Amino acid sequence: MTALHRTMRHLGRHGRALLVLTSVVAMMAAVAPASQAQDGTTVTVGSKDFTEQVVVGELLSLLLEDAGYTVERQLNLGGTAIVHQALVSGEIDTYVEYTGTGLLAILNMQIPATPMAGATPDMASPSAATPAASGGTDAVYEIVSQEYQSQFGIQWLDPLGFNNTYTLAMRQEQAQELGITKISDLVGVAGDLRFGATQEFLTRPDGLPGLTQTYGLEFAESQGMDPGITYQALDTEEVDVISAFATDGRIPALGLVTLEDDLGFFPPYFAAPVVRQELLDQDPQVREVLNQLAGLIDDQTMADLNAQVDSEGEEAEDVARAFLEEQGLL
Amino acid sequence: MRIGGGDPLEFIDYIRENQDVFLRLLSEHVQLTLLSVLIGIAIALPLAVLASRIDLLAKPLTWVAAIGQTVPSLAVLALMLPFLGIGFRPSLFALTIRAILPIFLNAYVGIRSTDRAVVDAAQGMGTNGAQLLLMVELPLATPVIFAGIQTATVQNIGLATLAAYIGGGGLGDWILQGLAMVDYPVLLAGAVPVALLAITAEVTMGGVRRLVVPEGIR
Repeated sequence: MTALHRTMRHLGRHGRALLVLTSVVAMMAAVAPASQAQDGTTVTVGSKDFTEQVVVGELLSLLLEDAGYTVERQLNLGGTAIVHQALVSGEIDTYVEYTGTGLLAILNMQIPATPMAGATPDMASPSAATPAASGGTDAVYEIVSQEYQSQFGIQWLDPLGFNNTYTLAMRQEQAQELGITKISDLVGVAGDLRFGATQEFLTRPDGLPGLTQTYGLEFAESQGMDPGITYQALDTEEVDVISAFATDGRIPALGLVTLEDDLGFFPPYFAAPVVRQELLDQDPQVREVLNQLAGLIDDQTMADLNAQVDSEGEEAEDVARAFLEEQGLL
Repeated sequence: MRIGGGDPLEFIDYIRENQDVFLRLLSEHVQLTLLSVLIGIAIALPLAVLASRIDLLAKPLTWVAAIGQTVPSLAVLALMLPFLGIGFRPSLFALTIRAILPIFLNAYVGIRSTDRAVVDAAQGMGTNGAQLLLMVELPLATPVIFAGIQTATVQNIGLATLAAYIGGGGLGDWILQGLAMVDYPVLLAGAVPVALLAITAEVTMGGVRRLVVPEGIR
């Protein structure tokens, strides 16, 4: 007590006033978050590190903000595994994941009843490929929903509508010249072609390792690089084939063609928000807010939104806002 | 994908199982570092001599070298993309820019800080400009010049991992793949050899420095 008195005397009148002011501010700061939590829960929205992810991340954020939530954006976090870990550890509450990625890359499971990595190329039965794209869709969604719930305590909400499958892209002239429209057309000529891909695609089981096995492909060389640079490298003829996303706006913008996955190697990658169960328990309304997007965005729409950011240089937030306003959701 | 999983020491197995790839990545990494430092020496040393002879040039040259050092290497890679494309060449370019400043600065300071009395004595003995440089100033500056080269080498061993962003290869490939998949063994299979390379370079160059430094100033 005496020590405190002495200190107070030392501070002088101004010092004491300052001390009182500081304590008041500190008290207010301590109280503030509590009062805020009563108004609306804070939701942290994450995304992976490419355009489409930032756009859909903004869609989730804007809808939540419109519903009165405080949103903290953690967009452009990193690759699949990093964002997934952030969700599991509770550093983010939600992001948009793709069913096929959840199944193969996160859960390390196989696609139900389709020729998958490990199967030998079976040219004689192309019909086996069709179920992967249509029939397998619901099955994959079912599996990831169940497994995410039991393994991580994470819920898959309703799919947004589009299927952002992996695909291979080439320059139109070269594809025409070589007569290539589907991936199995590459088999004979791949030895003369250079392959460029993201580092992630080079190691994912549903990336190059599985693809080469299923189709029996062997490229002359394969180089790993930043996602954005793959398109540029293809455009400037430094590589001939790249890994791409079906809904990427740069495919039409650069005059590229995508190759048909005729053996049905790539699983469906339907996009849907994944949310921590804890948040949904705490505030069930979050589900309704985010499910407003269910089935709203088809492949073409997503490609358009991506192109507005990638080719026309608009901000992801503006593109997302304009879309939601157009849909009457804001 | 083993999310964050796996015994970290598994990286040794990973290297063993992928020995061919490892040797290719390692050789790309070493080539990028060695070539960038050699080209860096070829550019920076003459510039340092020039700067030590023509006072007016010293400041501007230092600035230019400093800018090269401050511009992030990733930005250099992106800026050079339209001109140099992807792969080895642009990676080498970005690394060379980074090697220039430490070598230039050390060489310039080394030459300039030669003891005035020694220079006077040499001139009194009738040495001309070239003799003064080659027989007095450069030999006396060797330890400092060599320290600059050592700094550039160790720095570029680390920076060469950036080549993985533009298809330039090197051990950065595994680091980025490990990061993308949060697969620690893959990440470490890239990162540990880079660290070992840096330490090896530091130690061996320290030994070489002792050999090249003239007897008189050892």
